Amino acid sequence: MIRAPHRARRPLKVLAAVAFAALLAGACQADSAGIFPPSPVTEQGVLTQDLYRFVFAIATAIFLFVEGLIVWAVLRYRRRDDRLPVQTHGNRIAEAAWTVIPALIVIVLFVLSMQAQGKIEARSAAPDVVVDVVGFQWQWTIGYGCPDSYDSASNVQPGQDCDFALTGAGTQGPDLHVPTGQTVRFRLHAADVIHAFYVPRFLYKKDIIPGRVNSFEVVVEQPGTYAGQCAELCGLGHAGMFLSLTAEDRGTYDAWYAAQVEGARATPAPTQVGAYEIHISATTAAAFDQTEVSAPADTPLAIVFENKDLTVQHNVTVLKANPDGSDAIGQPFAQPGTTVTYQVPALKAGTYTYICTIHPNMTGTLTVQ
Amino acid sequence: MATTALSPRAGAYPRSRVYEWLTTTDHKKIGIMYITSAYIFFLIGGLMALAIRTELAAPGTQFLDPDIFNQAFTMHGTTMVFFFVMPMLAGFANYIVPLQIGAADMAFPRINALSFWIIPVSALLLFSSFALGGAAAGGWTSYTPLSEAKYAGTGQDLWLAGLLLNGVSSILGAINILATIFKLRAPGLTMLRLPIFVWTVLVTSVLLIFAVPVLASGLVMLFIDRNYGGAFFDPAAGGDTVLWQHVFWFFGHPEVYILILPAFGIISEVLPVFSRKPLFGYKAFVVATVSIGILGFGVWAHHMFTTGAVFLPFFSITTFFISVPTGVKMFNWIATMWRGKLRFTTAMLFAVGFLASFLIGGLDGAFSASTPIDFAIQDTYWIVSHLHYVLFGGSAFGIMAATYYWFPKMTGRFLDERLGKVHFAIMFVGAHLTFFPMHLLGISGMPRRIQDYAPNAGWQDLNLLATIGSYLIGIGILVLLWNMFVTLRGPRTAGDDPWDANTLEWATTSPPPSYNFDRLPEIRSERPLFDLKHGGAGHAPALAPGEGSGR
Repeated sequence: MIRAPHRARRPLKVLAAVAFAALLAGACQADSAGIFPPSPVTEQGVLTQDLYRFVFAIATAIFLFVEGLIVWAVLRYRRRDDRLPVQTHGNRIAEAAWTVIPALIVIVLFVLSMQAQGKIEARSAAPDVVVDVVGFQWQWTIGYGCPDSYDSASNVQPGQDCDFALTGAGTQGPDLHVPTGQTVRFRLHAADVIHAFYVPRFLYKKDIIPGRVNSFEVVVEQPGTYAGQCAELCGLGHAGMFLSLTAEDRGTYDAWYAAQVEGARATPAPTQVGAYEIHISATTAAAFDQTEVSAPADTPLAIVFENKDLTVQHNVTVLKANPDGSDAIGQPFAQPGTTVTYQVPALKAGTYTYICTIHPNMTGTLTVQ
Repeated sequence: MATTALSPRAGAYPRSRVYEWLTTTDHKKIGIMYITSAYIFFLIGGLMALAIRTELAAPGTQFLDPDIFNQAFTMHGTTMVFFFVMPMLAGFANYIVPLQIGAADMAFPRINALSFWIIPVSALLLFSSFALGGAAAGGWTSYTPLSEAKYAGTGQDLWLAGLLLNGVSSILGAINILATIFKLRAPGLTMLRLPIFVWTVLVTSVLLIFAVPVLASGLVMLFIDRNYGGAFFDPAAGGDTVLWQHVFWFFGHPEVYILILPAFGIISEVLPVFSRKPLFGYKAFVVATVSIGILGFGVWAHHMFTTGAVFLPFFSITTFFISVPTGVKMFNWIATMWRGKLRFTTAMLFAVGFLASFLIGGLDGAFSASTPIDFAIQDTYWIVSHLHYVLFGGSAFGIMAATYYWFPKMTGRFLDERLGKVHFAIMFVGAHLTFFPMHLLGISGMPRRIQDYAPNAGWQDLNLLATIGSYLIGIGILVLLWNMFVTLRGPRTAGDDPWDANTLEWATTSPPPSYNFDRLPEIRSERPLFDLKHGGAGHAPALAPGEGSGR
């Protein structure tokens, strides 16, 4: 215990308690959240991490110095008598020092930031892979092999224009694949409001803004699967707007790419013979037009879903309808003004809930009897 | 009733006290009404914060649906900025500035009453949205297109109308303050003898006059977009949605200084009094305040680094440089305490707590000014942490210091010091427990404004810690309210100058008469009352033995 006059101990104790709590918070969370960003997986992220560590070191030094001065003043200059202290009005040298030294420090930080920024924001003439990301309320469409016109086109339809397009399912979001060690350019398009493409392990994010096409490039060095999510408030479903990104070597990536192209060309399986048809439609993102439908038990179902909403995509997902208890997710999403048929396996008698995966506020009850 | 005879016995018109308060133009009563209403809005905004923290304490939806959650954080931010901190500081400015400059009232007393009474009306507009289909839910920044008619309902219109009206109040108040400071100073009170609180209020008022009309224009443009087929922010019709962000932050960043500069002023009153020394580097402090005011208009796009639509180096360097005058202030405050005789009243504790906490908010600034780091932390909980260190560790702690410091002047009664210290301890620990973990959550990737997070994201413990901290803050506020309740029932024991203070408000009775002063001391420095008690300015005070002759 520091020797301090007993009445001075209160602020000291408070400070100690806070420091302890902060340490505890840091220590308990060493694996998941600490005082440094998660380890970066891109070339660019490494630069950010280095810069962060440098700024952190300087900020910590200043923090300890200034808090030290405060604590010292609090302990040392406590009033012990009624005499008036020396009435100091200022000191030009000291004041000049604490103006000039911080100014020099921030100039150094600025120069280092600009150097890193130049590398992080650089664009190569010909990136190895271009991925188009469309953010919409509240999911993503990811286009691969999209035309060059996507450099500036803001209203894009990767499902029609590109080699293939991925959409999210449930709260999983789409699974993007990128090759490691190669330059990947992301082009970002917004279909409605502002979103932001954020993969924490990139230590980077970029806003997705209607009316403009933002882009950035990364070279992913570490293979693996990384979570991402929307970082700009975009309405009700903002918290559930996830994506995942898998980085793998170029060979595996190419094989994945070929399989996706194949899958996009394949015709959807025909409706099972004898399936019971349920008709559901949606006119707005507020609710389904039918909130109660029924079907016979032990019969395969075909949900004919008509998306009459001319602004956004929808689907119908029947919760816990698969034999293994998982959700029967309606894929692909129905584009505005289109009709899609979703297959649902035969169900036992009971009541089931169906939702729009993109707009979980849209719900209905399916009664099977 | 027909009698018109005048007689001394008739006295003043027989007015009820309620009528008196409703019709008053006395800057002190108006100031107290500002402060009281701001405390009420603090409770409302605080309850919303606790609701948000309750929902986030654990993964899953336990307490608030996404719909209500989005309304809650939108209205929490809006309430705290426009209906708590701004009116609170306007209230202290209203009460204290005329007293500190030796004036009898504000320059325009009736406009003063008007600018106060606009606030409850604008609040009524804003909060009626809860009963009319839901409040605005696009965040206190209300970015387009999410706040356009296609995505947001009536609540957004009421938000726009409420803030527009609130802005009128701010502009009227700022003009009034400026006229008062420029025209009604007591003889001898030159600009460089103004108390620092008056200086900070002066710069704040200039900022308000330049910034609020810009917000107002943005609000009107959005209202036109929403209701009359405009397309200012609609790219499909040739507008630009980023324009909203420029307009909002051109107001929004100076707004940050509007919220913090008067708190700087409060701290600069409290620290010298309880250190028994003058403010160290008075002139440097004035220069720093003015340069923060000017630089504050050149940093707005650091809120927009990730839009890809702004020139990064310019806004990066201005943001870095605004930390220099802020740093000057921090060192001046510490130097004020240095070799002083510190008295740890509750006001002083909050002032020291302010230094310790605001420092973190200030150092955070170096991270967000660095564009690559900003790309990582923008729109995450790191930013939420940073802004609360500035606005809670800074503005709110300053407001608490002001409350304890000026309560005896306003009411003639001391707030209980023992309860005050309990209040400080709980709130200080609570604030750091709430806001520090948010730094860690943010850099590990938790976006702000999300109603839920995955159980496997690793954010559960820190969120729980933050929620516990927020409850502590709530308990601290309850202690303060209890303290006020008890104190106001007690006797008036505070004299004219209970803190042995420096400035003119302490040269009259507590509370002061409606005309403020019977007579004023001669003003020869920024500490006229100190000069009166301890010998004039330039008069070397007797040195205590052993103190040396250092500066």
